[in-house]
This record gives sequence, structure tokens and C-alpha cells, in this order.
Amino acid sequence: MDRKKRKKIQKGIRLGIQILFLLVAPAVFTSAFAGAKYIVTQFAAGELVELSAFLKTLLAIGLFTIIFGRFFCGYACAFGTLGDIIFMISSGIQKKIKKKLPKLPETVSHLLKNVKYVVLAGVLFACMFGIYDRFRGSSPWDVFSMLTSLRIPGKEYLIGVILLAFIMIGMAWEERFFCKYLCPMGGIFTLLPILPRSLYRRNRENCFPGCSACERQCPVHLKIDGDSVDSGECIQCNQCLENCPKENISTGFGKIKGNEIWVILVKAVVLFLLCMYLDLTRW
Amino acid sequence: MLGENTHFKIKVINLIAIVAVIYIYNLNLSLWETTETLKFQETRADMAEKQLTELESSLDNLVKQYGDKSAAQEISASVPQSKWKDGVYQGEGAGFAGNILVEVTIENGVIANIEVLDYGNDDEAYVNMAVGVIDAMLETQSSEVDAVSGATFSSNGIKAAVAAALQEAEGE
Repeated sequence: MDRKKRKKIQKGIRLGIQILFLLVAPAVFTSAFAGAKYIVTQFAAGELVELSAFLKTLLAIGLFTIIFGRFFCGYACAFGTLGDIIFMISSGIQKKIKKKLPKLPETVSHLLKNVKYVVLAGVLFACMFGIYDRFRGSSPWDVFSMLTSLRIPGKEYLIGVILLAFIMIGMAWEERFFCKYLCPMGGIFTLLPILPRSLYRRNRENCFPGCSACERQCPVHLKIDGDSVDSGECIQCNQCLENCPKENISTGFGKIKGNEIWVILVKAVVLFLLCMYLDLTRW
Repeated sequence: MLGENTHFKIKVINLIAIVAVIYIYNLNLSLWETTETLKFQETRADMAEKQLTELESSLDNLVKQYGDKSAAQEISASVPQSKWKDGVYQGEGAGFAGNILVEVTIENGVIANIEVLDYGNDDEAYVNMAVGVIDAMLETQSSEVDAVSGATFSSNGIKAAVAAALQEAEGE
């Protein structure tokens, strides 16, 4: 099969899986993060940390990520999919009017990646000190969840609506803007010990000298060298593999590169069954 | 320092530390809770004994005043009358993505049972968290309890549904 055609098929499969999860299981990311909030809330209340539905989601999605890498982020997170769709529309428009939005300097985006830890710590501290309820209505995720449930957010969600609007502007500007800079759940995922074998690495000796096709395409600015400071950022979008002229990138599992259609489908099915087990699928 | 896959190893250690903290917290808390429950039961036994002697003395008083009708009436009036009539009542409230339907059973004037019959399109995982409010409702005998954090919408749906059912139980 020629490369261009295969690239198209792979892009189509990814978008298909993303839309399926968006429609059928759009609340997994909030539920998993609610698991983290639940732990600190129980700490603060002096109550036992029990295996509640939210904690189960956090554990299941966390374990899935440790084993397979952040496939959930790249293929199944409803909020990530929102970002991808907005960015797709935005880059389409940019191509048409032949004007490009300026890119953030690499150093700035590197710094911005740390903001998600501030968001994560902020939310967990708010839960710890019992002031989280005071920020009700300012969560852009709540507003998004309402929209996926076909509900119109009321007046009390004004701050959340405004924040969501700003995030959507960011999503149009940079691919995976929210995921790499702001997502508190992304912060947790980044800190998880993903099996080094499940991480992508390139065989540098085999690279064309001076080629950086993979790095330029990477939405989260990775060097793609297996286990590194930033390796937890990889959301398995597989664009590095799609764009490498030598297909010189792979996971550590023998001949498996990581973007084979059957590998993607196996991961998607496992994740979908997991969501069904967690009671997070609709219809 | 740690050889290959340094970052992976550091993250494993971090994760183990976090899990250990939660585990030790839980262990400590359940130990503490068991001792507290024992203490609580002891004090409750003491209190029950005291109440019994008090009751006995007031019974003596009653016997002494027997024949004085007004006193007997006073006492029967001081026994609280439940505002709810016995029966099974249904109520609806808005959850996250649809209405939540509950069934409230009133027995001997108290809320004996609350059951969620239907939760529309709400995710089951969220409803499973939100039913935590039901225990609190049975304990306080009121629909006005704190929502389960993280599942506020489903909690509020259950609260509203129970309130509606209780309204019906109040009758005319």
C-alpha cells in the first residue's frame, strides 16, 4: 500500500475512534479526575478512601496508561477530540486564507507545559481545604460535559463558559493546546510510570542526517527517544510515525511499530470494554 | 545513577509512595474507627442505663398523677407526630442528562427506604457515586444533605426527586 494512502486510512481510523468515544463515552476523563479529587476529599474529611466508582475509573485508566501509554489521550478523551476537531477546522482555514498563526517559541511552550501541574495542585488543594464547592460554575469541563449531554449551562456557569471559550481559542491556535499546557489529568498521566517499551523511540543511527520530520510534527514537542524527562507527554497520536520518511520509529515490542491498524484496534477495543465495565458508556 | 530508564524508575518509586500513603491512611483510620466505635458503644450503654432510670422515675410520677387527665393529654401531645403518611411515594428531579426517578418508602412515619428507579441518560458511574446521599438522607431523615463531590448533578437530582416524593407524603 502506498504511504499516502495508508496515512489517510490511519488518520481516518483515528478520527473514527475519537468520534465514537466522544459520542458513547464522553465522561471518562472527568470521572477519572474525580477519582483523584475523591482521594484528597476523603483525606480532608477524615473518611476512608473506598473503591468508589470514580476511584475505579482512575485506577483502570491509569493502569491502562501504564501498560499501553497515553492511548486514551490520543484516541478516546472527549476533550482531546474537541481540541483536535477545532484545530482541524482552524488549520483548514489557515491553509485557505494562506495565513498562518505565529507559533509559540519552543522555550515558552516548554515553560507552559508546567502550568498543568499548577492546575492539578490548585484543584487538589481546593478539594483538600473544602473550598472546591465555592468554585462551582467555573469549571470548563462541567460546561463541556453539559454540552455533551445536550444541556445548556445556566447563568451560574458564566466563568466556566468564558474559560471554555478561551481554551477553545487556544485549541485553534496550537494542536493539543489544552492537553499539553493545562490538563490536570494530563499532569497525572505524565507522572505515571509508562512502561518504557510502550514509548516511541527513533533509531537515531538510521535517521537521515539533519531530518527532524517527527519532531516538527509532534503536537507535544517531544524528542522521541524513549524514556526521557518528557516521555510522559506523548499522547500516541502516531503522527511522528506517519511522517518519518524511513518509518524509523517504533515501540520496544519487537517488530511492532505501534501504529499498525490491528494494534490500534486492539487498544481501542480493550479501552472500550474497560469503559463499559466502568459504567461510563451511554446508549 | 539508576542506569537505563531512569525516569521510569523514579516514577515507579513516586507511585509506590503515593499508594503507600493512601494505604497507611486507610489502615490507620480503620484502626482508629474501631477503637472509637468501641468507646462510643460503651458510652451509649451508660447513657441507655441513665435514660432507663430517668424513664422509670417519670413513670413513677405518672402513676402518682394518674387520674389527672390533663397531664396524660400533655404527654400524648408531646409525642412528635410524623409529617409523613405511611406509604410508597415517587418523585422526579433533574439529573445531569435527564430525570432521576426515586421511590421513597415511609414506614411508621420515618423514611425507611429510598430507591433510584431510573436515571435517564446520566452515566451509571456518576449515579453510583451520587447514591451516597441516600445513606445521609436516611440518617438525617431529610432530603437536605450535602451533594457527593464530583457527582453534584446526579446528587442534586436525587435530592430534588426525594424532596418531591416527601412533599407528596405530606399529603394535603
